[in-house]
Amino acid sequence: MRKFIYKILIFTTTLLVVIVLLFFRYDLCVKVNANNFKLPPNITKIIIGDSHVQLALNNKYIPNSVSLSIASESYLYSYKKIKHITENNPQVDTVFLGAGYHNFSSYYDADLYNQYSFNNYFYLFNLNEQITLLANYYFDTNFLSGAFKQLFKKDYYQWKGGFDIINTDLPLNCSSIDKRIQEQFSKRIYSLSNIKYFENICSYCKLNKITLIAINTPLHKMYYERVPLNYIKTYNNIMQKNKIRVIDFKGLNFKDEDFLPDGDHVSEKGATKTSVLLNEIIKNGL
Amino acid sequence: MLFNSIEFAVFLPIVFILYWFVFNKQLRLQNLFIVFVSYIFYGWWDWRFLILIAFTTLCSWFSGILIEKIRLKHETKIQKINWAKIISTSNIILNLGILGVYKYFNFFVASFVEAFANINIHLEPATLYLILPVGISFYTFQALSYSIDVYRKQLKATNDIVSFFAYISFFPQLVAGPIERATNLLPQFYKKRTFDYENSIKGMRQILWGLFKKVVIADNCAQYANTIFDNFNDYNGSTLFIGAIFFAIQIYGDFSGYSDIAIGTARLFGFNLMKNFAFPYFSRDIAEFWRRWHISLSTWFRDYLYIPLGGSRGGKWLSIRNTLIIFTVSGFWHGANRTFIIWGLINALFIFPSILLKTNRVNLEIVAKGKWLPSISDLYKIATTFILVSLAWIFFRSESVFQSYIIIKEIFSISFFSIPEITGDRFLKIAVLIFFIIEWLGRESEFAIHKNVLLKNNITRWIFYVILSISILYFIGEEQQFIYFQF
Repeated sequence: MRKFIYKILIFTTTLLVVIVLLFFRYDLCVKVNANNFKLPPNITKIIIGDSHVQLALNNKYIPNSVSLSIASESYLYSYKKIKHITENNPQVDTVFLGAGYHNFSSYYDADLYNQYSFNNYFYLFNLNEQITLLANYYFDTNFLSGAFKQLFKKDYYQWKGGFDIINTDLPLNCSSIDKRIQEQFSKRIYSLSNIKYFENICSYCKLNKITLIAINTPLHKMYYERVPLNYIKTYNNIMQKNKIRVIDFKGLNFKDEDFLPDGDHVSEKGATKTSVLLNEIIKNGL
Repeated sequence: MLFNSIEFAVFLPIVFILYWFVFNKQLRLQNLFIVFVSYIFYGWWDWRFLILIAFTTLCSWFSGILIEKIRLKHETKIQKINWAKIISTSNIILNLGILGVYKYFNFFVASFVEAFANINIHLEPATLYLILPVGISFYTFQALSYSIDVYRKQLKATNDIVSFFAYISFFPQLVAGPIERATNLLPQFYKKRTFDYENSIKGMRQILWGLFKKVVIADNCAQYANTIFDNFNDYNGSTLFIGAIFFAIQIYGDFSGYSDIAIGTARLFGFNLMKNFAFPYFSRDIAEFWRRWHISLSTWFRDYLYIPLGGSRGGKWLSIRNTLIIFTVSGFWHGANRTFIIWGLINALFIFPSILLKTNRVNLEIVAKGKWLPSISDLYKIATTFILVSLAWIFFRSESVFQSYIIIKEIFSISFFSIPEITGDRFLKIAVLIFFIIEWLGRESEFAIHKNVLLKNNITRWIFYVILSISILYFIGEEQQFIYFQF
């Protein structure tokens, strides 16, 4: 028995050593490459957020900007991203942060620690935070294997994202809008995590003298009419409390073709219109 | 609890330590501990079904005791036989009744309603929304084997209720086999187990290989098989054929992987379970394939159905009739769907020529024994058997007979000669190739990496185990259920 346990321990230790070596190799690569994550010197504005801004703001139409938004991104990760990017790129002076009513709904929390969202960001956290996260999620094989897979990847910045277009032949329709509203607001609970990290982003930007602008992307009238009032009120309260400038595109009179079927994401045409409009606002002085 | 979950990775070492260091003083206590942890293992999925498994166990145990008592009490031979037969039959009906209600009730109701609808009589179906208890077919068959063996006097009924509960619920093989015979497993609970270093190391290796088969091979093949089968209307014949091949590899990796983990885990506790797979995809004919695939079920049907029906003793035609019955029942055992029955029938059809030509017991030894490579003729036979088996799997995997029909029709159309739209990524192709090379080289052993010629050197072996572990960690992702859990 002693021999058996000894052998199992030796094997487990060997395996752990290999994993730790892989981890440090990766960590070293991230650190080395962190300096390489340099935005071009003319880039002073970054666009951060989830699929709403990812689809709505095309940096091609907004000079000196880059979109680093990615679908389903919670503010926890946006916060880590903003910190990481601005620390490595001190020329960044403006952050356009996607902030819609849905961002403060608890439906966002379901994706907070899934494989898709979590593992891409794992290496944005410092070692202590990583250990805490591992300790909290060690029962989730999904998460563990995702974090492990990352060790073998050469793309260290999968969280980068960028402007994206969704092509669909489906027209805007009521059932997609209802489905979306149901998905986002039926539980009528707020996302405490997103509220907390939104405030953290505000504080961080203020402290570092970075202009933070919240972007409420265009919403179709039929979608907006279905958003529960208490979410709109809470949204306004959060913005007021943090004294954040909001550029609100929701009231714009966009055509149906400017939207995707769900009414809360814009199509390619909608994105062009929104980006051109934002550029005009920037030109007129933020 | 799934073998490929973190819960099991924590559960197993705790149970192992308590089993060998705390409960090893007394055999009865050790068996009781096995029952306790097995019920935790099973209840992890749904604790309500513990009542069902306990009920099945109690009924089978009582039937055994009653048969023994009647044999002692009644004086005449006829009286003894009649009463023993009545009790044994009652227990079989009860067990099969429970299985029938949970597994087949809705199928029969739907078939009944459909049959009446064909003659324009429309009935309102009284469907029961029952959840199928995991592993019910496995532990029911295990309980039946005990009952029948006691009736046949091949086994003495046990008075030891703890051992009997442990035999039915033994966690490594509880939910997906191997379906153990009471004659093999039950006596192992009567004897004090001593820790065997060699057997335990062998067990660990078998667990590792089983996990690799499931997590790396089966789950990766599943992605492609699922895509192709779920969108069968969109693909050409060659892609659908590749889908069938992917599924053939998936089901082998999945089920034999489970069996390896089960057998390996049992070894850690001092038990030897029966072999369930013997490199079936290296078979040279369908009869050989069925001697090497899901051995515990095939031999169960052979011993408790095929032989009592007369086996092959009554000539060719009786043998064909019995084979047809066995394969139909085996198909039906897998699930309440016509696709499984047709799958069984197709396999029976494949086997008939060899029964008629009396060639069904030609290939008893493993192919190319003692050689590195097979002969051209063997290779041809292996490939043909594999293709036939893969085509039959189409019925097993499809949701409906119609889906199978469309897939088969497309495979046998001109589109079979078009370029496949999906062939799998490069990694998977390499992994599958390496997997089959290792299986080939280890085909004369109990499992592929046991005494494999490639792994004689200690350093090579350890590097190999580390690579296996890393690849398991890499692919473990979302815990994927084992296919045979649904049966």
